[in-house]
Amino acid sequence: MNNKSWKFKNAAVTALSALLMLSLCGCWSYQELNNYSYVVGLGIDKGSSPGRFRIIEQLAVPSALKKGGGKDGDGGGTESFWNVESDGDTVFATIRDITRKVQRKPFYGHNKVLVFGNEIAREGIFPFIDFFVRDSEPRSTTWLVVAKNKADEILHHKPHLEKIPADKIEKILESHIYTSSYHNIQVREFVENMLSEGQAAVVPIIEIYEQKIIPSESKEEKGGSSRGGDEKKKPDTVLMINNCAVFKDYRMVGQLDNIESRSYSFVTNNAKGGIIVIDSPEGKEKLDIEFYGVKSKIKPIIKDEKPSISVTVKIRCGLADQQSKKNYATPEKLKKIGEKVNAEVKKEIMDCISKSKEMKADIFGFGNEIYRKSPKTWKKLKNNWDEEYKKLDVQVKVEANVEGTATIRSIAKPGEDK
Amino acid sequence: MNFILKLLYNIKYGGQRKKKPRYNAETSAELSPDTGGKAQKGGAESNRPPEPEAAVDPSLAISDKLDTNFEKLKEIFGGSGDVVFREFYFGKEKTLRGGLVFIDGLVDKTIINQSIIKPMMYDSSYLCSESECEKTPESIESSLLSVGEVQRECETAKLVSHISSGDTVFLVDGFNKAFVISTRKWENRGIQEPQTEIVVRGPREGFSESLRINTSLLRRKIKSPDLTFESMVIGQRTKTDVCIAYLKGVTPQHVLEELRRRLKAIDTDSILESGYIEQLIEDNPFSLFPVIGNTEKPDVAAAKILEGRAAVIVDGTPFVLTVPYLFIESFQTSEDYYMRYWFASFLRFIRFFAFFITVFAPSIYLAVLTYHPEMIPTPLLFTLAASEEGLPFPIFIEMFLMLIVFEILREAGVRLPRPVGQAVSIVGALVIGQAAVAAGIVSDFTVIVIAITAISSFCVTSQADSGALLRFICYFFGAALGGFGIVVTILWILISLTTIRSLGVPYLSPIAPLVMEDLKDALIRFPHWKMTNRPKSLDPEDVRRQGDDQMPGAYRNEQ
Amino acid sequence: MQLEKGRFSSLELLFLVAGLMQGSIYVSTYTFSNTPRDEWLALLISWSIFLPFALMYLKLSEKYPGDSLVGIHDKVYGGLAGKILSAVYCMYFIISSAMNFRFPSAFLTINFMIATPVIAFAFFLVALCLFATTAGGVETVARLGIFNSVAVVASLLLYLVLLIPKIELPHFFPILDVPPKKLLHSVHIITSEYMGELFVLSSILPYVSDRNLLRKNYFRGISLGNFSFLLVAFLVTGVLGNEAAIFTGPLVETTRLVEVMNINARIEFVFMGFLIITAFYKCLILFYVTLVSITELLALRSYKLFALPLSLLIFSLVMLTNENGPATAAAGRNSWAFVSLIMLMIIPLVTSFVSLMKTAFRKTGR
Repeated sequence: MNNKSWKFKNAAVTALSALLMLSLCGCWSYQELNNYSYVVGLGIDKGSSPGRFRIIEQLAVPSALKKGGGKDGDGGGTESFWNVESDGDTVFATIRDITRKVQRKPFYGHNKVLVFGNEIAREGIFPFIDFFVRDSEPRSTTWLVVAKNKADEILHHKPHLEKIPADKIEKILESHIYTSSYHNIQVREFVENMLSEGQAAVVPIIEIYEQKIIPSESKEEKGGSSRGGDEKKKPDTVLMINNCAVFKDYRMVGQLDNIESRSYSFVTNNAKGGIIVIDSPEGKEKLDIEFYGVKSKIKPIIKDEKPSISVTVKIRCGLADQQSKKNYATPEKLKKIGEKVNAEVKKEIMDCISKSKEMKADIFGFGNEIYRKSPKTWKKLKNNWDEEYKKLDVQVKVEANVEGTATIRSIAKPGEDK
Repeated sequence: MNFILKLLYNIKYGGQRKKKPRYNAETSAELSPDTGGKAQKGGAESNRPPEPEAAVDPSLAISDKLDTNFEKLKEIFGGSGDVVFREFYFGKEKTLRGGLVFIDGLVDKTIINQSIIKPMMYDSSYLCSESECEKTPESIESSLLSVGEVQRECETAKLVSHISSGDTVFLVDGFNKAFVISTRKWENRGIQEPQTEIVVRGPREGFSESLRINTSLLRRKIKSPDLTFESMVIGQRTKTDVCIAYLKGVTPQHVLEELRRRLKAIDTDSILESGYIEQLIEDNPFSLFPVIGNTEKPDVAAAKILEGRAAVIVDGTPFVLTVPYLFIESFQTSEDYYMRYWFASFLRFIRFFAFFITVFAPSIYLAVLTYHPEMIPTPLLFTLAASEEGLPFPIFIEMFLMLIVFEILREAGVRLPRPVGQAVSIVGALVIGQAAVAAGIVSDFTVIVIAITAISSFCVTSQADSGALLRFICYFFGAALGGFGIVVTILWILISLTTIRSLGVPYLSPIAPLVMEDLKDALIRFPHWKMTNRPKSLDPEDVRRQGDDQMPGAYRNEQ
Repeated sequence: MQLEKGRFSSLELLFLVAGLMQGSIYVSTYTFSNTPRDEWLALLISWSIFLPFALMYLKLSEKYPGDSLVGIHDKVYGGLAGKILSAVYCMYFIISSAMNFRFPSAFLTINFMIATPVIAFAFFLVALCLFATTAGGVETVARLGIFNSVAVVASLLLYLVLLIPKIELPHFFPILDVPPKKLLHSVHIITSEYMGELFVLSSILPYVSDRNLLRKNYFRGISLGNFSFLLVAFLVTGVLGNEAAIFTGPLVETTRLVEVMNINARIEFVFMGFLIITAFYKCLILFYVTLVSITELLALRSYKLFALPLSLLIFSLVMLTNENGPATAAAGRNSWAFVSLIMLMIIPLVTSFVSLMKTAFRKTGR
């Protein structure tokens, strides 16, 4: 036996053991695609008895969702989603319990939306958030919303354009860039806000809005769906985001209406576009100003250990719609409009700030800014921040730059637009 | 187990065990002629198994009687009908008797008739027999045989080998030396476009099966007298002519010596193709990757010789071997150098990417679907899940079946006769794929992935064989361990690649032992006017290949 | 005494050194829980503290060219004391290798593939190391360096580009408000565990072929490794801010947040690949160094015979330490840092001091 046989021995042993390992173990994490059921939305509501809560899971039906529509001949009869619910004490236990009702293991990697019922939100959602951050399967980029009443009616609502309610909620949240009247928040951002010094978070509230339209017969689907008979009288409903909830210490302490939420977006640099309605400089009619770029700076000023905040908001906007016949396309008029915008936005922001002071919720992160600027001052204020926040002096300065009037000056006749 | 193998070996070779020198990293790293094979070289010759022509004593010379010689040769060649024995008389008053031995089909009959028999019969009247004048052989050789190459031989074995190669042997009664006249000519394929290396731009000549034609093609590319061809004969029954081509003063001496040593140590019956030689002189006989390159085009071979490599031309095959061969060369084609460098660099990246796809695409698909479904974008995931619905086999089996089917189709497509081949392979692929999807055996995504894998495998042809094997290995690891399995396979491939050497040069130069100067031609191709030196990893003796300031431009020509 | 004939150039040493340091990126979770916001500060401080030590390691190797760790100890401390010290070092290396094999395996199990046991991952890492050292040797170890470094730096830059929209610079403020105890702890861990590992190079430096560029490339390698660390710190702090303290794998969390054009791109798969390559490279270097040290200690002729037993030993140690994962992690954070400090920084200091004294005595004694 030549002494170089160790090489072959080594190679043989390694190869053999690797093969044995592969064959004996049986691929632990191997799961076929259709052994999973995919959870796309989760809702949490108050349960049947105090201390318990309900979890509603929305599961997607892939065969109805694939490109090309559902199976031929059904034309919308196959539901693209179905909801499952379960009662329980803790989140993970309840979620595992649901597997008794679902024939495939639920997979949370594609969960898009987490809806909290209103009552649960008022009581505090801290017991429920931990699972979504700790486990590696649900992602921390899930969108967080609060329902106006109960989460299950939100998740049951069948949308018009999308196939799954969770999709629709996600798309609505993404369209915040058009009105800036709410800010979409992810679980990660929410937790980060809660971990920061003294801060509060703002979460959109979603509700079901009844439209005053009654659907006509011609819109019925083929194939005999269940809309018939007395369903004709029921009005059409859509999902809508209206107002925002303020969370302090994982508990909902109040609400901000649409204008206040917009001011919140202004101050926290989250506003991407929208319309501000102001009175015209003459005071008679209304003008619509569309803003498309908002930059804000929060600057803490520490004088004699007494902090104050100065907020500067710069808005780039343009005149988008007017009800009057006047021609505003001259630099002086635009400047006047700008001043009006400044006054209006400043008022809105001050309103929002006073409301947040009422709620004792520091939603803008002023405390954080003070901490970043001067940790020593913050140490003194930290313990009593609720009261200190009420006393905090905030100066707001708005600089709007009205850039133009889009394509026309005025649609009035040439003599009337003075 | 080892004992059984030993026993079988002993039975076969009758107690004479031959040791072959081992080329691994340790011995190759030194590459000096004093290591390894010296002790074994002498041993190899003395322990050589006995030669097949046991009847002939190899060192016996021919006699000076023509009849004895003819008898001996007739006995050696048996009753083969194509061996011709021609006697005739020539000389002063036709006293000298001479005989020609040649094999019909291997010789140029015109030369025999016009340049050997005719001058012998008509112009040799001044010759006298040897007993009278001693200068007869010289005058035969120098004045009468109007042929280009004439040699004198006196050993029967060598005569036999010359006759088998197509030379004519001219024996004269009374002389104990025979004249060996080179009259080789046979039918061959001629110079055609190579089938395996098709280019858009560049010469379309390809090597042929005849050694002389191949050497002539190389001579036409490199007209320098430094181009040297060293001949040797390998293979005891096939006696194949093998020739090492190199540029004296450029190819390093240690490479040449090592190559010669290995070629001389080959002890086998038959060399039918250069692949036999390739597999007998490899550095790492257990590796998956080819360490000796081959090419069918003379411009490629000439370019490699000019960079400092050596080429091995084997008679009987158009594939010429080039040593040393680096991994990066599989991604270089001759067209890269004829095209402009921007597009050539882009194509290099495409080839790397194609190689990556062809090896890893099936396993990445499998791993992502079964181990990491959160990686897929949600809409795609639903489509995939819907298409997997109702299929009988798990994805692992599906994909494996399709991989096997692809290999079958590829192999069948190569072997089919030309008119039928194109149609069947296209029809086969499309129909089988579509029908399988429609019948519900596989899902369409699997077919798409297999199709992409198949197409990419033809981008890098020289690694096609290792690529196919790696694909399967990677597939099994990916199926067992998901993403981690794929990474383990990547690491294993990298480690294997870094342990391989090609005639002493590490296989992954210039990347793995990072040689900065050679990176000009590795991942991207620098312009021609930048490549002033030959690759340093090949250690050439003459380092510069062009002048310094070669960048063209209108402003320069004004100076 | 040199165990093998393979040599590699100092350019490959650059990538080897960088790879050794980059392999600790995944272990940087320890320090993020201490100083989530000021990791970069801890890194810069450690870098400056460590540079003289790096120079000391290099000088020690240059003073005894051709001798690895065991040889240096023999020459400096004499026969018996040197052997005992080398034996202690061998034990340290074995345990350190076992811990290093365990970390990426546990990491992968927790974060990516939950159902697979740690043993499966560790088995394949050990098997690959075995293959690399028996089939290759130091040349393979050196040549893999460039792949590792290119992979790590490319992936980090990719993540930097993709995460720019998510980086918020206010996460770095306030700059210097960090409790000094925690900063000291982080500096301690970084210096002794991540950077102190460079001492293992004393077994590899004898195989470098060109010594004139050695110093330059050595320090360049250290810079590359530190640069990767800084990039990681910048990314994690920028994206996660204070939240980094709660995660067991902050870098993974950062990569999970990649969003390309409002689609969750979810490319942490790619990150996992690069992570395994990096972790494997560090494990490979440690494995090789352990192998070489034990072989020289026992005065064997070739280390390839010992590779298989050593891999089995390390594998069983991994299985043992995995029995109690949190204890190992806690040990890595607290007690192991002190052990590393002693073994990798204090004792080499003593060794170089003693060798300096010896040369001084030799010069004056004549």
